[in-house]
Amino acid sequence: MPRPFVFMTSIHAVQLTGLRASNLAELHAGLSGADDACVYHHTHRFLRTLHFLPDAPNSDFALWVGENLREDLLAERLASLDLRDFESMGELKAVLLSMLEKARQDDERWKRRVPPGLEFHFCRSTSLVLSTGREAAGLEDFIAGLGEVDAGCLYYHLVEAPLRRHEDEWRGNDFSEWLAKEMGLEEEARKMAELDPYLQDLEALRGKMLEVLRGGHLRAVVERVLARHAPSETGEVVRKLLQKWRSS
Amino acid sequence: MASPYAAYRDIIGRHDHDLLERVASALRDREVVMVNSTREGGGVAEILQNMIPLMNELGLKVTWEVVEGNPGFFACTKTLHNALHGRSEPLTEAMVKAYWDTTRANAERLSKVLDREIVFIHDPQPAGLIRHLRREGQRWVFRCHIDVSAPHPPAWDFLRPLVEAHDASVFSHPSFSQKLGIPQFLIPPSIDPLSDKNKPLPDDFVAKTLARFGLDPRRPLVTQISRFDKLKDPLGVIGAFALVKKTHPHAQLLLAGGGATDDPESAHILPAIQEAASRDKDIHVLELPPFSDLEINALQRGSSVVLQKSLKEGFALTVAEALWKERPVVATAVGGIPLQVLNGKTGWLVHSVEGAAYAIRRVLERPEEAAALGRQGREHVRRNFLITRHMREYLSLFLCALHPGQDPVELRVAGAGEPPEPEGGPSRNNN
Repeated sequence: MPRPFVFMTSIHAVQLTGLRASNLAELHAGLSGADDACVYHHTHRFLRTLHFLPDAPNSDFALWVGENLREDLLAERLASLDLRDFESMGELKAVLLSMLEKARQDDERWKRRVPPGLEFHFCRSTSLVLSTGREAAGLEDFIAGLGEVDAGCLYYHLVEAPLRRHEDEWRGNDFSEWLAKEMGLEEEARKMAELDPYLQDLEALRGKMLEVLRGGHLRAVVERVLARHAPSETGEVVRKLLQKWRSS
Repeated sequence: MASPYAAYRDIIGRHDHDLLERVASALRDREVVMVNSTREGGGVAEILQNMIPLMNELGLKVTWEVVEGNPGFFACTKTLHNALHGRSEPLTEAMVKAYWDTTRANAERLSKVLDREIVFIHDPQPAGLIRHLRREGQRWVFRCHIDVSAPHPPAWDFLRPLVEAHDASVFSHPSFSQKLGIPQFLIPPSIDPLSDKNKPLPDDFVAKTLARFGLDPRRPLVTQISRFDKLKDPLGVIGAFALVKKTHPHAQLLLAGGGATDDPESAHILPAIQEAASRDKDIHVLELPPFSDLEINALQRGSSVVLQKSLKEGFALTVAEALWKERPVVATAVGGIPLQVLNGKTGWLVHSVEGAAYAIRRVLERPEEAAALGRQGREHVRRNFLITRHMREYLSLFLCALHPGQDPVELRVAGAGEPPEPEGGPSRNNN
């Protein structure tokens, strides 16, 4: 029996660290001492809270460097990182630090302060995880659930939970993992795993996932029909047509 | 009649409504006591009046107590309040004695009701109670509603050890806090979409309200609603409007707010505003009496642009109020405003009189773009600055306080689909 998929969601409690930065030097120092929950907060909070906005910012670091320090080039670089490339917040932090460090050679630029009131405030997020109350025992339930759960649930399974896994575990997302391991839908799982949650809003991702799955669902129905019926002359014709469709 | 909490369902949507119920179910029957210094008047009392019944409806057991004091105690806490805001007002020995005498008397009076699992202290007035009443197994949380970013040092020296005796603290904005030895949570304030100040109003009521105050509903209206204080830069607003009038001669400006202020520097500003306004018949200065929430609501809804050109700000919930009404907002990037106005997405952030004038003209010239900003602004407020979000974050805070050091906190909630066991499921943490 396949293990059911439990649709989870999460909410976040934001904590202040009390650390502030007024220039690149202080941003670098603060980030050097930041823990994973801090790096996660400043690189993921927009995805959680502003995903409904077209062209929403994607990083507090990039936003502050661009809007307040007016370092457009550096801001663009910080904002352009593909977060899927990083297996941990520690890795991401190291790359962010190395990008900031390139400005260190220019002492004036490194120490130029923002006006009072525009400082960067280091925060961190604590996640509270809970069930949505919905489970899927099979593919039909799963598709129905995926169509109805809230965007927070999509965020949790596409972004947050995969980030928390060990490096040697599955590299996709929760949805793709379940489809591959419990439903045997390798092709659909691969397509789901390739979706980039950082570049599309969560509702658009929902649409794409459903598109992938509905094709997979039809294939599964065909497989069941073919498995139940012995070939006959008429059945053979149908079988060929279905096989042709399946391989298309 | 629908329950109070059910009334929010159509506003926040089924998912968020259900989510809040599920989070609350993890705290079912938990006892919380809120403590502040007044049941009526002021923003803290208003939030508690609205929020406590909702929390109880969701299954928590929340009570509310207030500290009582004599004039000497409140003179001390008023001085403390001012000094925490940065004024160099000294706390005298007599004031400190009055604080502790009153705190001791309150502790005796409240000892039997402050035995709840979570004690939620609002602002400095009840902060000393922890020294007398803390019991084993309790979680005490200090909620600071004021800006302590640049306090007069003696005042902070007095308050800091009391704050740090608590298990956690809460601030409204990152810049309002200090470095502390206890966890600090960030929980912005909120508006209530069902209150008189924010509920939907009929168009004819809006038009009549504008007409009642001498405004023409058919002409563009630029509005700033805030108390008459030089930190709200009313003269800068008038300067920006003068630039706007060059290209929009039919535009009107409304400066509306409370007239009284206890700031001696600001007491002289109203005559200066009136003098500047007298040069243009399209500038209206309106002193609103207390309890003018419906009028403020109508004036905001009737505005073409809402301006908040402050030089310094607290959280500035007037911005959230305007965004909730889908008004295009032009505001300075100070205090809590940048959390609400995302430049070019939910409004325009500006830094100068000229910048404000340009942004106002842009809004007036591009109504479709302004409407899109307004729609996105309302959605931003709906998701992030309503009382239901505020309540959810308080519940999250309680849960974090009950599970110190855990991340993630896995919640056991009512119904199917418990969090997965450690061996399986998707939510394991390897941090």
